[in-house]
Amino acid sequence: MPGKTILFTSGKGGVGKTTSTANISVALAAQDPNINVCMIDMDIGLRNLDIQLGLENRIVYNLVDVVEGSCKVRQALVKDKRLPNLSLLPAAQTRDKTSVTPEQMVTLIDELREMFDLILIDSPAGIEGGFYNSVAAADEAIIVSTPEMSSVRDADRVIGLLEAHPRKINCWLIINRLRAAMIKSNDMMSVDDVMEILGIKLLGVIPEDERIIVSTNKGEPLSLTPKHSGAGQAFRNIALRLTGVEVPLMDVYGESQNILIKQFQKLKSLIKFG
Amino acid sequence: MAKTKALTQSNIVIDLSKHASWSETKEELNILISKNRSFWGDTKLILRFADFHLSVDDVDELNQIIEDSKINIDCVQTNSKITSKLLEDKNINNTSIPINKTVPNPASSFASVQLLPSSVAMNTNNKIRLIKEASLPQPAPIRLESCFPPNSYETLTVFVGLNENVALRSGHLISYDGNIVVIGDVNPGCQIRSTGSIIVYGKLCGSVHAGFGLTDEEVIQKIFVKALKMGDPLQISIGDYSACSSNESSLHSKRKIYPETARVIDGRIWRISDFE
Repeated sequence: MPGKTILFTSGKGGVGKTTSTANISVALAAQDPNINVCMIDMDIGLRNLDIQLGLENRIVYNLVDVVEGSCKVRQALVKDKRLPNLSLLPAAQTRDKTSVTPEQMVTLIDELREMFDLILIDSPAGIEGGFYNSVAAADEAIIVSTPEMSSVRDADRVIGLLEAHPRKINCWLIINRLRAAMIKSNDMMSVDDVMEILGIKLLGVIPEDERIIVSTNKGEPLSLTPKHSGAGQAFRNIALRLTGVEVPLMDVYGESQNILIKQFQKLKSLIKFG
Repeated sequence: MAKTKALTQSNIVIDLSKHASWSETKEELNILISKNRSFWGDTKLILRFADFHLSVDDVDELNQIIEDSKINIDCVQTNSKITSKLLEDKNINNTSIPINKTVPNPASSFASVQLLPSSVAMNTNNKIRLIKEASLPQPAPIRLESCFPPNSYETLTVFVGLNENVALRSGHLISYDGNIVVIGDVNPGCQIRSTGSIIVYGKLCGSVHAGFGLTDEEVIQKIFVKALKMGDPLQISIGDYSACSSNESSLHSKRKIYPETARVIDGRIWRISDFE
């Protein structure tokens, strides 16, 4: 069966497309060794996905080389150092978005579909050529948005473009960098606020997590670290949902916290101030 | 049902003539009528099939859909004599399609306005269906003297959002010569422009311009913008007049939201809650 292509896009930059792609791909590959996962970095000229995966020094050939026929697809694919069933097709750093056309992308991804079960495409920010190259062969799209007005507005625009696409691409939503405390004090849009505007199916909610910065700098995706981490767990849950497993949404607001723990924290604060 | 009252005296045309097959048409009718049943209330619907032929089985199925949804069907318009005969056998009221029986367009200088290529691409997708698409290249004349007059079916365009109630998203542009009804939410960043009035069955944000290109004060006073919710950010223009929302952050807004109408009164745009 030919593999499925999932596009990660957002419109606005810096909302976590690349981080989501890296973490979800790693989680998908880790949860089932029989699934072959491939990531494609479409941000030609500003590539980042390789850094987040810690594969920067292993790149020999890139996507533009493949498209131009300078090498075979297999030569350009970089195998992950931790997971043998995960590969990356890196973007070129010395070229720009005009080096590839949507038709070339369709041909390339058709070839990749024979080799992999899942192909995750990391789209660049914006709705110009690079975006349309990424959309060209996508079956489904995951829209990444933060709970901010500007990000939601851009996501809305991108959803409009994807729905208008001749292939009618199915859209899912990931709400990234959610801060429960700010929502409680009414300083941030809640999940419901975002859902009301965008009106597409919710795939997952990722809480703000400082460890993401450390993990992207180190090149070790958070969803691979066994230690408990809010964001890492959220990415793993999303990966499970993508494979059809029903996982309840994470309790990002901390409402269902154990009563005993709550009492204990209350006691602790009393002792501190008393 | 306050939200449907505004339209109960008028009819809404659902144009199904652009489909090639009955299965496609049936699917759309089911989504439009059965799944959005509460939207329609007592509104009388006119189903337009134009030259599309229906077989005996198709008419049976159509009859079933109408009976199941308990929708108020005014009539079924068809140009096919065979279909007409079959509909009569089933006691479904049907007529042929009236051809431009309205008065000449007072804003005829605007009649040549067409949708921009990008918006055409957006409107022909599955989610946002431009139902009266066939009449777009040459917009039908409109009767501006009285908005939504009975029997002037040509004046109404309906845009329906089939995706979780969002009809028009940021970046969508609707430009049309005539009255417009949008079923579903209109998100910020969307632009609607019409020579007639605009009704939104949902939350209205973004920028709407009703009575576009009109200069006659008397006509402008008859133009209105109605919505079940008027949100923020919102800019309403009617004729030459323009007004915008108060710019309060929607996160802190505790304002009660209710159906509203915007009209021009004494040289200003007013928001009146006359839906109740």
